[in-house]
Amino acid sequence: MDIPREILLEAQGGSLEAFEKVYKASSSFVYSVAFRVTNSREDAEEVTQDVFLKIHKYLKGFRFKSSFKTWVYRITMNTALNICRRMIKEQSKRVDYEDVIATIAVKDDSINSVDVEHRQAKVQQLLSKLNFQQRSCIILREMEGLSYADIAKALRININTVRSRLKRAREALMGIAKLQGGTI
Amino acid sequence: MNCERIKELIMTDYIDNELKSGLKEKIESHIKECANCRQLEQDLKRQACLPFRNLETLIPDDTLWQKIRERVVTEQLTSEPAREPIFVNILERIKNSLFPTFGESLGLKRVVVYASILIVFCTLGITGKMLYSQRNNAYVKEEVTDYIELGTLDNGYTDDLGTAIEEFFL
Repeated sequence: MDIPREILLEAQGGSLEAFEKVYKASSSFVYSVAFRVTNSREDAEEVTQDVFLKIHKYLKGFRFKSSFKTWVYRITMNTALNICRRMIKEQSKRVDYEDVIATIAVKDDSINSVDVEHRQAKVQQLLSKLNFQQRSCIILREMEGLSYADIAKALRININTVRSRLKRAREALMGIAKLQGGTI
Repeated sequence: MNCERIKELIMTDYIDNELKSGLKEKIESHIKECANCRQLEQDLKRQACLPFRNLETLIPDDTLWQKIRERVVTEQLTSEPAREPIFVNILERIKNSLFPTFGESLGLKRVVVYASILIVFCTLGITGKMLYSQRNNAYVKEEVTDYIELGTLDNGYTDDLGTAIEEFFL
């Protein structure tokens, strides 16, 4: 997602055409991240919509101190987290977070036929085994390729927290593989 | 560096290419010699890293932009300021013409602006009143002079009923 500064400045000035360009350049990664986090296309669309409304609302205050992408990641993660919290609240009778996530994973049946989609479903299943914090770090690192410093900025956490969350997430994933006979 | 520390680094900085070149090479040479660490690196890549890499990018439905666009346009329309009364506009214009650089946020500045406007109005009012009083005084003075002169000047008439018409009827 490389959006020229001029386009961002135009969008800051209220140009809807420029904002559409910003949307086209960044919607797929926002939607992908949102889908990985929420594990539902419907919720991912809701997150994406909320993220772009927030971008539109707060873009005037964006001062280019951080990269635009990192700023968008931060908004996306916060919005997705809020949606997840709401889902957990709605399903407050459930015993723990893992159960909720597992339920959400089963809910989306739109990805189960083609090989690519089968792989996507497998990935979602794995992600659903991680808690939100671990999942966020894995998504940003493995799928989006962010550095530790950028993950720390996007999630507003210490860089050592990024390390420890990634380590625990990977230990959990390897534990699952072990249970399944060494393969995922 | 012992195996435990190296395993920690393999799980994080090493696998994520976050290590400085010197340390990275040390771990690489350790992995070549240590079977356990080598196994860990291979398992880690296969089980916890590769499944998440090179996935298809997901694209949202085309209708999503239309929904966002509609919301943005609606918000723009509703957030436009309501038309202010004409009187307020006039005050605002006076204020802007007098103090074009004044910010909106400071209440003190607003007070100064309105106080200045009030002073201008008061000054105009007092000046007007004074002008009116001066003109009034002049008129009264003139009238008084006329009445005084009425009985003293030698114009052919007496003080009481001394008009030509009265003389005609009498």
